[in-house]
Amino acid sequence: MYRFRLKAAAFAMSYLSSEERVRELARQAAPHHNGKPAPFLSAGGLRTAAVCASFERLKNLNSYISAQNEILSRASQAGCQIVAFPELSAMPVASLMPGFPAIQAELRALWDSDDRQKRVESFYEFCATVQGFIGEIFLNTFSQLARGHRMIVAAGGLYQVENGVLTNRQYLFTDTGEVSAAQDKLYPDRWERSMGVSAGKKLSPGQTPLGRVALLSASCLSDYEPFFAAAAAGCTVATAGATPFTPVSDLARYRAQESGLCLLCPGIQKGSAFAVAGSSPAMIAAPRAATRSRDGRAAGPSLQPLVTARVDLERAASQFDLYSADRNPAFFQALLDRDPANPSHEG
Amino acid sequence: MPQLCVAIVPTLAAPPEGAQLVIFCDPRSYVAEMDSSMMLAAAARYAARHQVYLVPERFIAANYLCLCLISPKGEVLGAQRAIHLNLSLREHNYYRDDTIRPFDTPFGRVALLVDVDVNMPQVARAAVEDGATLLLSSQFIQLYDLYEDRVRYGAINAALSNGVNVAACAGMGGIIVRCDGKELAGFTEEFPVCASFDPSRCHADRDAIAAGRLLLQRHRRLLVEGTMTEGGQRNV
Repeated sequence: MYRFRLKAAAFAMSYLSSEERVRELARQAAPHHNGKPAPFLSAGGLRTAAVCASFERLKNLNSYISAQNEILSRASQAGCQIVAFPELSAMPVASLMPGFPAIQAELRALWDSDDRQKRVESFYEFCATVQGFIGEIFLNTFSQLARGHRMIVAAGGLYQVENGVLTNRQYLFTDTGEVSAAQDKLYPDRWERSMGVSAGKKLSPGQTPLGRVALLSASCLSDYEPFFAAAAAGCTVATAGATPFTPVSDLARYRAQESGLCLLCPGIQKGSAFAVAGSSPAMIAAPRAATRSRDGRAAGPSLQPLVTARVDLERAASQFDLYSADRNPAFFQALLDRDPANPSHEG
Repeated sequence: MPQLCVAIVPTLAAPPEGAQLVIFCDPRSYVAEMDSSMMLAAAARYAARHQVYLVPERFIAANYLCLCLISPKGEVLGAQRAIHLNLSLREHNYYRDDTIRPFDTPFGRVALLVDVDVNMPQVARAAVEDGATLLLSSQFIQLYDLYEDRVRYGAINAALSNGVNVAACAGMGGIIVRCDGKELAGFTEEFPVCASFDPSRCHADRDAIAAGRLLLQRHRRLLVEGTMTEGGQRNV
């Protein structure tokens, strides 16, 4: 039955969605600020923001655009140059499609079932059907808003099917409204893996006026590798936001300290509409010297809709840490050369 | 498996009752090479007298900063040379090792993290890849740099990231963290720091570890030619 409903919704959506309409609404909400300078790294550091979003059912297109614009306006007023939204932030747009409650109820029952094949098939079909509709609204909204507010926006993203492969993709918009990076999630959560979501192959940071930005997620936090790769790729900022499955943990400040990155960790507020089980606060972490704090917390953790902080990465780079500044390339080379199937067992 | 009782005590202080594994906590950076043999002999006598496994102070041997584990019989079960050095030690032209070598003990496979190695996530991860389920660390931190979060940072990071048990001492304090990241004995300068846990429990996520290795391989060129080589000339 859900297939029929999805097809009917897709047919209706082909009439409902309108790129120009979305752009116009976003332009009205955030007219282009000609006088505002592009984001730049100032002597005092970088003003950053992380959003603690709630995944609620949307009333109409206008309410979606207004809600995103309000967040970006607040960040802009606070002087922020870069804002990060949690991953999957675009998925609530699916609630705008006709007949969504019935489709959701039917799919929820399938997704909770024990039949893996049914789960994977239905999830794939749902994502493949709605991605065009969601993508059109999401990409055009954030492109216009980023341009309007002249801010760099790590906007989160959606589940996307490309060449038959389903991934959780995040987008980075520069202050000119261009998509600077699209990153497939490197470490899908357990639930995502059970639904057939594939892992991203490589880290693809985006180039911005503030330096390179990597799009990671909270599921990466227990692993140092993505953060080392991001640092090696010349990134200054990375996102590592909460997901509906994984909260942001204290590991964020450890990763920030050891990789020298400013980590923006957007949060999620508990919501009933999309069965987000628990709240996860937003926080911003950076190397200790960059935050002038002893624990590397620049802001948060907080369930406020927006947390902001100033982070001075130049200061962190100039004040090396006696205890974590050493690098042993020979060890790292041996680590890369090692065959994991045949580890050394000498005592 | 029975619980393992770990205690962190000042050098040569008697262990608390029931302690099976003791880590000496010392306020100096290391035991010089000329004193190392005497220190190890005293440590072996201590282990035999109190019938405990013992991680004594860090010591210099053949120009390496080292750490070892001594059995209740007074024998050295395993030793590890430092893979990274804090910058004040690098000035002394000490060598660095290139491999972490976990070894088997009656309470599981143990890796010794020498001094700042506990702050290096790649070392703890490599040890866990080699099967380590318990990480023991002994670190020296200058008094002006010694504060709670700096000590907690390395131990909790290693435990949470790898799902293994960690006991770490630094300066005149210590911390014991269970494999799920719970602080069994939080950082304190009140000795002894003592806690018990099941050493057979290990939450290492092998899938994530394998994914991390794959990611490193895919970015190999970036990592080898990039930042990992900066500031790290070969052994002097």
